[in-house]
Amino acid sequence: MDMQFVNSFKSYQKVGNFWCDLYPLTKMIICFSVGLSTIVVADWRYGFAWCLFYFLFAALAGCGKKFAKVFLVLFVVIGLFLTVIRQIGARDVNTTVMFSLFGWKWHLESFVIAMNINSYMLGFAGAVLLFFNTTAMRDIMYSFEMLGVSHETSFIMLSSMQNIIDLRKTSVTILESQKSRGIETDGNVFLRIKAFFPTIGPLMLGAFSSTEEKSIAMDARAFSVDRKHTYIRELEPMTGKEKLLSAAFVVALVALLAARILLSILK
Amino acid sequence: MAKQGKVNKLALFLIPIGIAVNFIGGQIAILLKLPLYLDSIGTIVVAALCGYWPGIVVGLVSNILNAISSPTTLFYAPLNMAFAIVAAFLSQKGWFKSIWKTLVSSIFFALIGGGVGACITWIVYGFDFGSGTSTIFSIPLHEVVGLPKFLAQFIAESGIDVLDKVITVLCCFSIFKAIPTRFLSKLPLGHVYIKDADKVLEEAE
Repeated sequence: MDMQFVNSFKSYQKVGNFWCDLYPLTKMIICFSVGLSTIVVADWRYGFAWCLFYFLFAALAGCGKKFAKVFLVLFVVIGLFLTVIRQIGARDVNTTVMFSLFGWKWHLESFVIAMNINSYMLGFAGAVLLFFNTTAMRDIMYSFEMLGVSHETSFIMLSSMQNIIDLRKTSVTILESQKSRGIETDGNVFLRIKAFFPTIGPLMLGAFSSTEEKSIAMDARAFSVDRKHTYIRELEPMTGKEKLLSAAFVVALVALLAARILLSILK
Repeated sequence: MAKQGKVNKLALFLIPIGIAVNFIGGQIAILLKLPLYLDSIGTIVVAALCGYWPGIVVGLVSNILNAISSPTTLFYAPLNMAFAIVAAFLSQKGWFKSIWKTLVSSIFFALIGGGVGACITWIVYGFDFGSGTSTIFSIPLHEVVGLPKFLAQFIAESGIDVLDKVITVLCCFSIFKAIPTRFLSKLPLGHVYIKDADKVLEEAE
């Protein structure tokens, strides 16, 4: 078992899934090209078709539930809310009544406007969500380091994620401690604002005081040494096929943008 | 003052803390059921203590990490970066040493957060109202008061941001006051907050 674990680091890290095993930069180019293309096209048929693809890819990558949970929250917060707002805000274009809801007439024109905006908001958001849900941050930073980005940048990204988890726990402890010594966290808004200060202050000062020790500990592991770094986990470099795939998505995005500009000029 | 290399490294280690504080500040606000964002304390503190670039990095990375759960925050990344630029500039000028100047600085932050934020919302949401909490105020301002849509959005977002930024800068002010001098002396802009630091530096020279 131990040797199996050791040997797992001798070859490129793979999980046996087509989408997950793509090089992080390939996935990033594909996802961002698709996401940006939904903004360029801004048509509900195009945007929502991609949203269905996101669900499919997330399910194939084994994170369908996790993706659906976050995406559906966005759908409610952005999608449904915006649809209602446009029925109020975009009345000047309305002529066709769709239905009446307790005497409130819903119009087709403002509904289509809302759907078009929703399609690119959710189309872009879905692409970003798919990327982050199917790519580990350490793999993203590894691929950036291969491009020449400094290891300090990787440290900032990865350490931030760990710090969020650590400080969240500390903030709950501080808040509970402050409650136990009599600080009121319920009541009117000013009482609650007053409780914010004794929570965030110790949290930040405590985190600051740990930076010097961290700095020494990191230096003990040669963090500041200006030499080529080695990696315990290595990813397979971008293959020729992946480069071709990435280039195809970028070309398609540029073509869509050119077509969109041309159409708006001709109009 | 410490050696330049040491200063840079401490600033580097403060960046992840600033990013985490941006997140946790927002979460404590939710825990306390406050109708405020309070998600830029880390950016302002790091920019005021370490300068422009560390602050800008805190602002940018905070929005990138936020995008993992809420991708639309990516559109608002320039706001957090602008907070860092303003905070570093005002810190160099010594604004955060006085409570009154600190309170006045909240107007600049509110104008960026609310004003520029309203412009971003206006563009992103197809030159109309957005879908944030500000619509609770912007729609009545348009429908009842009769203000143009953009002005209604601008006033609503700026209004919400004023209270948010007043609390934020007061928080930052109390943190600057509480940081030990020994720690401040190792930070790029820490000398601004040390009493008589200029005199000591002149004497040393």
